Amino acid sequence: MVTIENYEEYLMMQADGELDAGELAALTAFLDAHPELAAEASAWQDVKLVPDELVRYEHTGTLLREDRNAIAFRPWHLAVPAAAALLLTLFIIRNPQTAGHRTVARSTAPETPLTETLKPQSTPPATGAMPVKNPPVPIRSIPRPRRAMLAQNTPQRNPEPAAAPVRPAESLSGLEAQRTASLNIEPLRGSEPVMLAIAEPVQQSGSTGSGRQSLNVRFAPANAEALSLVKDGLDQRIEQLGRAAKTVRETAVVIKFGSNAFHINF
Amino acid sequence: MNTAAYNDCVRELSDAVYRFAFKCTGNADDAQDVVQSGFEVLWLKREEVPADRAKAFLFQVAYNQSVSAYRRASRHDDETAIPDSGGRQLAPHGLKRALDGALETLDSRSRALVLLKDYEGYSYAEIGMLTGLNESQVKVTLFRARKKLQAYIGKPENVL
Repeated sequence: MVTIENYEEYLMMQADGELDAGELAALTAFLDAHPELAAEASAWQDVKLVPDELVRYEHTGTLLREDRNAIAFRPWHLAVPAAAALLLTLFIIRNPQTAGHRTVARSTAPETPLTETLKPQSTPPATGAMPVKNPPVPIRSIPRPRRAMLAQNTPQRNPEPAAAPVRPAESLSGLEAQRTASLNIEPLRGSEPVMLAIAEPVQQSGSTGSGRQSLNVRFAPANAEALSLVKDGLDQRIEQLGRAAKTVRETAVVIKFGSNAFHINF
Repeated sequence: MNTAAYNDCVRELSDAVYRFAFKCTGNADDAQDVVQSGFEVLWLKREEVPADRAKAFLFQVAYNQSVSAYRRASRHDDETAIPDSGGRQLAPHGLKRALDGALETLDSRSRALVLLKDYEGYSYAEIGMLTGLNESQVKVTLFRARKKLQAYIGKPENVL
């Protein structure tokens, strides 16, 4: 309620915009009742300060901060990878052989028929092996006896029973089996020294019916000890692979997620 | 408040804080110190201060530092300087100049409260939160300050 004791406070609050509707109405009624006091309302408006807009802080730039965590994204950030992609595309277009064709190696030797290359030489080879005198012996596939023969010659490191024989012809697809059968590999017989296999194209007729060429692999005279070493190495690798496969088959993997456990048996 | 919001506060509030500090301290150097330290504190506490509370935070810091700077200057009897508007000639305005002079006759707290109310438009309750006073104390302080200003400009020698 506005009284003669507190009307000045209400006049100040009116100048400051702090009166609500009810208080404003009460003050208005009071001033209507006391018109000699109404002139004092302007005195409170006169002492209201007005900010001087000419007074400004001249060093705003020193207060600004940079975001060190943000990466400034500038236009050249797009231009550089785009240019690199364009150059790569142009390189691929101009060099189509690198797009889908893989060139492993190029031979600089003259292209001569293989038969010419494989003709018996007049001088003995540098290894000292005897030249082939007899024509190549046709060889056939003997999968099982070859492994048994090697097992007899090499010491048994693993007393475990041998794994089930893997017949190449049975484990391969039809196309692979056909190609493997055309190799006609036969183990050595006799006491003649052996050399590494030499591929000689032989025109097949009848067995395949297509008249296509296949490789007739024959063992030429060479160092038997070297060949046995190669066989021993292969046997060791086969045994290692067998043991590894056995270990994997006998391994149980347990994966735990919180309170759940998953057992995986191979 | 991230860096971008902080920089927005710098651009929008640096002038107002400087103007307030300048009027409170009566000294340009002290006012610049108040502005720099106020924004430094805001930057350090940017994770705690939301963007919509930055103005109140700044003026709270500026109020405390301005009052302290004014009291230090008063103890050393430093003369207050007329605000420098950068060489621009102010239009002669007797009442305005008289009010500037009258403002300087107030104590630091009264001066700050008048400036917070008239320059920045804070309510009595908001001024109370910034200065640590209750609403009644704010009203009483403002009332007494305004009465002093009225008495100062009521004298012809102060206006003419």
